[in-house]
Amino acid sequence: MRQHLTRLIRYRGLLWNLALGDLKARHRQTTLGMLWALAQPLSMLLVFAVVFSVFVKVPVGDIPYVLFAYTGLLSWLFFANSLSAGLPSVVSNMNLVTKASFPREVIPLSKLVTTGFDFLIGMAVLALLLIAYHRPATGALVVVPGIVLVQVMFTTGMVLWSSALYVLKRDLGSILPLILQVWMFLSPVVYPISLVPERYHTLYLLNPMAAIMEAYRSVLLFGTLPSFSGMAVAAAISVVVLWGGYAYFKALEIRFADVM
Amino acid sequence: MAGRLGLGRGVVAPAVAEFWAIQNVTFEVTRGEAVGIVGANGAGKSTILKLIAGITAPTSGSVQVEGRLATLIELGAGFNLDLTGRENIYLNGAVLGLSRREIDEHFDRIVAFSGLAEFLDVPVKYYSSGMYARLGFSIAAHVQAEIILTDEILAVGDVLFQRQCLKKIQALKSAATILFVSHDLAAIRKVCSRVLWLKDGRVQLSGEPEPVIEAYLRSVQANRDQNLRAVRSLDSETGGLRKGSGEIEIVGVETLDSRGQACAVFKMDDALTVRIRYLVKGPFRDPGFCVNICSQENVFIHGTNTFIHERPVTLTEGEGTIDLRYSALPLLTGTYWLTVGVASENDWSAPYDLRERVRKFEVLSTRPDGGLVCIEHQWSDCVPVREQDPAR
Repeated sequence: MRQHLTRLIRYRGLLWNLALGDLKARHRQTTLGMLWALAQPLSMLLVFAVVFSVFVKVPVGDIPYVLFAYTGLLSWLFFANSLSAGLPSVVSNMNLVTKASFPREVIPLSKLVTTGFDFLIGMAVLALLLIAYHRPATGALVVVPGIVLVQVMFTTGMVLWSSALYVLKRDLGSILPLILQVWMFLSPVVYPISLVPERYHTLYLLNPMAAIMEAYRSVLLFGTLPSFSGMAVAAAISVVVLWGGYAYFKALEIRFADVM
Repeated sequence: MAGRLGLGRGVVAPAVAEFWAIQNVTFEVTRGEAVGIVGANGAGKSTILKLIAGITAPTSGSVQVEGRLATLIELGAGFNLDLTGRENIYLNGAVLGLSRREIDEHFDRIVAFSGLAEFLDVPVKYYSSGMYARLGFSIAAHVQAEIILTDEILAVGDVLFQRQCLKKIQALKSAATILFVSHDLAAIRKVCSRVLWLKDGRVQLSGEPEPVIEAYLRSVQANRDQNLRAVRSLDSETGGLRKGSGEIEIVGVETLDSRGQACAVFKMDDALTVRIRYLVKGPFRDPGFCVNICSQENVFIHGTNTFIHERPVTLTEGEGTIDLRYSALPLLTGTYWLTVGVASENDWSAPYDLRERVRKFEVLSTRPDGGLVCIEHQWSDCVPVREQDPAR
């Protein structure tokens, strides 16, 4: 494992270059450029705000629904977009994989850098929204990097695992959108966790994304520290997923060029 | 210790069907050596390179590599088409394991060698395949690798650039270990200090370049004779016969007019250019092309070849073209057929590829003369024959 990591670190330049290439290629020949990073969350936010605060009134307490939904949406989109981009990344870089030698995880990880970049821009907008809605800044904000770290670990693990599996089982490409849709509704993106019956809470919070969204909300919207037990479970699951995903990826890696 | 690699009983087999791409291949290459690998297609040459590069792993056996690798299995592999040449230098350098600082260091030399300075800020999707290969080679040749693996890298680019590449590889030889896979035996002779002949995944022979290449050529020749007995009738489109051993294939023949446009109908005295498209698939020696013109009824009208003109042909590897230009066609109205071939040492009994009646063209002539060829002529006035000879 340590050997793998030193090799990965040696190829960090490639990781940045791939990510940078993706970003540049994405924004080249577009008029809005970087602003496209915001198009997806904002348009979804608009739909959610209309449907779930005008048509259906989802009770979210005294928080403006827009803030509520945007916080969930932001962390969800980081996760979902990373998976959607990461899953086919190794296969779509077949040319690189069969012709050059480098630690293959660089490819899916570079996708995480790109989606992470969108996430950062989204966070900046969230900060502006919080200021605009006069949400108080509290000391609880210091744990935000911790929550982000847990989410990054979980997402990275999932991306590594799924991108390697996709090389062998292309069915995953068709199933993923379905999984993501179900997963989104099983996570508190558009509704608060308080709407979930109490007896299901333990089960519900085994989904690290649920715990992570709850944590973001309590810190950013309510100014309170997240539930320690909830985050501890999410962090533990994330570490296992990351370690397992990386090990799985490295075990399969050497077969990539043969299978493709 | 740098720049040394060893392959111990390297074996590769895909899990699906029992096929051993290479088996029982053991060799060691030390620093400063340049080893050429020859062998027919599918002999396992590329597999060996991929094993050494760590792109695939042996099913059993081991590969040991000491030193930094630069793999030139395909020039420009991993270029991002949307990015500019400059950006791709950094990307490709990173693929080869270089840091940004290291690439900065070599940047100017890479650009100078590629000769693409003025196109640096153009996205590579607008590059020609030759420019693409130039940039790819320039990067790989300047990363100061200790071990360089090259696979048919001379398959692209113009002859001039190929020569430049060969010279560069020769220059790199002193500082690096080189594994050189090519069908161009002349290039192998020039670059390599040792040659490995692979046959069906096993080492058939290895040692000094000259004897190994000779032995390899002899075996290729024997194979060719075998292949020739089974004359292939392909190209049912024109019904012409096709035969050859296939090391070089004629993949297309075009007729072009004086402006270089593809054209099938010509006027008498028009210029006609025959463009032959070839594909190099195996080793060759002293190649040359021929073009014959026949009438619809298969009357042989004219034939020429590069040997007659004592014009040595330097083939670009991979796909390439060669033109034959007739400045003014002296043909009369009719349909004419081209037979095109490529062979070694003017030996047309055993060509690499010979395609009879591969393409036809029409000639329209305002001359009402009969026959096939217009021979310049004048009629005189009638002259009476006088009884001058007293003997009669």
